[in-house]
Amino acid sequence: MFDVNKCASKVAGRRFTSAVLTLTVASLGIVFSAAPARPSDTPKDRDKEAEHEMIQQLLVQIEELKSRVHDLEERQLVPAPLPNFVSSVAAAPASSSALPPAPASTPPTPAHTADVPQSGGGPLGGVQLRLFGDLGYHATDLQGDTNTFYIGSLDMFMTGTLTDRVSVLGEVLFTSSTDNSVKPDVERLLLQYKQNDHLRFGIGRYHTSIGYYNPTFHRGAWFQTAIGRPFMYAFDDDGGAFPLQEVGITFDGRLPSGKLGLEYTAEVGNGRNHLFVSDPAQNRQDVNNGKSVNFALSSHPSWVSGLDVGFSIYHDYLTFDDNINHSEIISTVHVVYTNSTYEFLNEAALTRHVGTSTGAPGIFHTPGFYTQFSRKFGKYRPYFRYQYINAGVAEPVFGDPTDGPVIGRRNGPSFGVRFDFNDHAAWKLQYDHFTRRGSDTISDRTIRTYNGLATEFSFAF
Amino acid sequence: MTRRVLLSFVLLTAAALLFWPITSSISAADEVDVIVNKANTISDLPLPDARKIFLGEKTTWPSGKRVSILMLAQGQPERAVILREIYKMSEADYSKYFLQAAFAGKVSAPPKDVPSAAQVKQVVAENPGAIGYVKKEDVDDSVKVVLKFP
Repeated sequence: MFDVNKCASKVAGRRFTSAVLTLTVASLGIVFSAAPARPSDTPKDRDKEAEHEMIQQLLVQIEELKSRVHDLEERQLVPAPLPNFVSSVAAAPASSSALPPAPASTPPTPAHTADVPQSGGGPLGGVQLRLFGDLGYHATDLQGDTNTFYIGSLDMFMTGTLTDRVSVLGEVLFTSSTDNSVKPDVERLLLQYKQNDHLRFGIGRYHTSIGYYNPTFHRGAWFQTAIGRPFMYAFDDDGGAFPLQEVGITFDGRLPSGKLGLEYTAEVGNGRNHLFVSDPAQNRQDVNNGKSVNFALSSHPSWVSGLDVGFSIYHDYLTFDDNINHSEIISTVHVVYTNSTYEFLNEAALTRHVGTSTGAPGIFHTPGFYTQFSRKFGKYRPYFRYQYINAGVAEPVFGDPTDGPVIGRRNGPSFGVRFDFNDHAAWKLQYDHFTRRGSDTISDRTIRTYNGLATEFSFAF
Repeated sequence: MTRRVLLSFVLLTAAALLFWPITSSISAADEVDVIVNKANTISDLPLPDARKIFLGEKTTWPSGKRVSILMLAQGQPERAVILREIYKMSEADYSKYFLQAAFAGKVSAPPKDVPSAAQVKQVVAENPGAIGYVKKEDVDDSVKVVLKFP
């Protein structure tokens, strides 16, 4: 592609080359013209004549070289073909007005073959690779917890277009575990087919469209204003409550709804594995024949730009080591408003599990919500978040330490500020004041209040 | 000393007020036209629809052709107009928006930057699904104007 900076550097290079050649010629001229005139019948005179001829020859060669350099530079100044032009095109008509950044010497675009840039994925979009990452420091006065520096994750995100309608999305994550190991994880691998704006089909491993936060922010810490995800959206492989990543098929698109701007997502997947010490996402083998089903609907009304209102409902059967099935329904609702200055996120969820841990009849509800507000002041964005989730101690899924991490009750406010160094890197500082009942190792009724201070650097490029 | 500071402040403020309308009028005086291929069936593009298209939310034309968005390279005055009028974003917000949209799987690539208005017009003229924008004086009969700013 034509690059103004490259062009400028080439022009500068040409000037430099010309200057060198001119200086050379001038130096030669000065050196030889400085010699005093003498009669031409001596051997010295003959030598001088020979030198003069040599100078003339050198000058001719220099002129030839200058001409060749000029030709080469002219060729290089021709704009490179736009990547991915679909059709061969003729020279463009001259623009009637010269635009400021365009160099005056830009020749008409020559015939070439390249493709049209595609939005939303085109046949010629190629492979896009993005890297995201975060690292930081966290301190807390919670008994049993230690202050620590940490590596969050290194996220390699790739998208590629295979045909006009088919694309691939891949995300490989290198994340640190509590045992200090860093392991690669295929976070997402999704083959997508887009029929039109109303129907897109995908198959593979995806982040479930439960609520707003999960499908919006995924693993990218840089995208998130605050440090860490809300409790209710903690990743399931980090001890979270919801099945946020699954293997299956997805459908999504826009509904013909005019100014309401309705969008839907429907997903059918393996659900999550709740066998202890196993990967929550059932990548290869489902432990039961039941499939999880999720449906989400959201509205982006055109009359309030930045408003997003929606709900989702998820159902699955969880099978434990004891072969007891628990029906699970997760309902969420969200009202979100974002623009370049303000961010106001509000979400609530209610999880319903059927059957006790011993298989006896019983229904258990786990509510959760968070609200987050931030406002941008230049490069600074102070924020506030309050979050809450409360799973009962008798909850068969969230309260039984033999079946997985205990959710218990967690609630409290967080205050922080985000500073964006530029468009690709940010620093955050956050203070947390949390109350917690239950822990990962023991299901109890002890309530602990603690404070936390965290800082994080995140980047995306 | 205080008087000098006050005087400097007043002079600077006056200078800013004096030149601000001039600099604003430079961009305001140039009409920017959104253009599509002449074969495109639409003849008028309402602003809300234009916004959906440029945001990558609407990716096909009524004819079924795929939308291909062309953006002039950073620093071009027409681009500033489109960012302000259609995207309602700064350059940084625009960049973040498409990064996040790609991360969410909504788009696989952001709009492609094109270095000159002549090339925008050329690509639009040659590709039925392309949409771009140029100054009014750059428009000719090789493309179709569907929206005008201001």
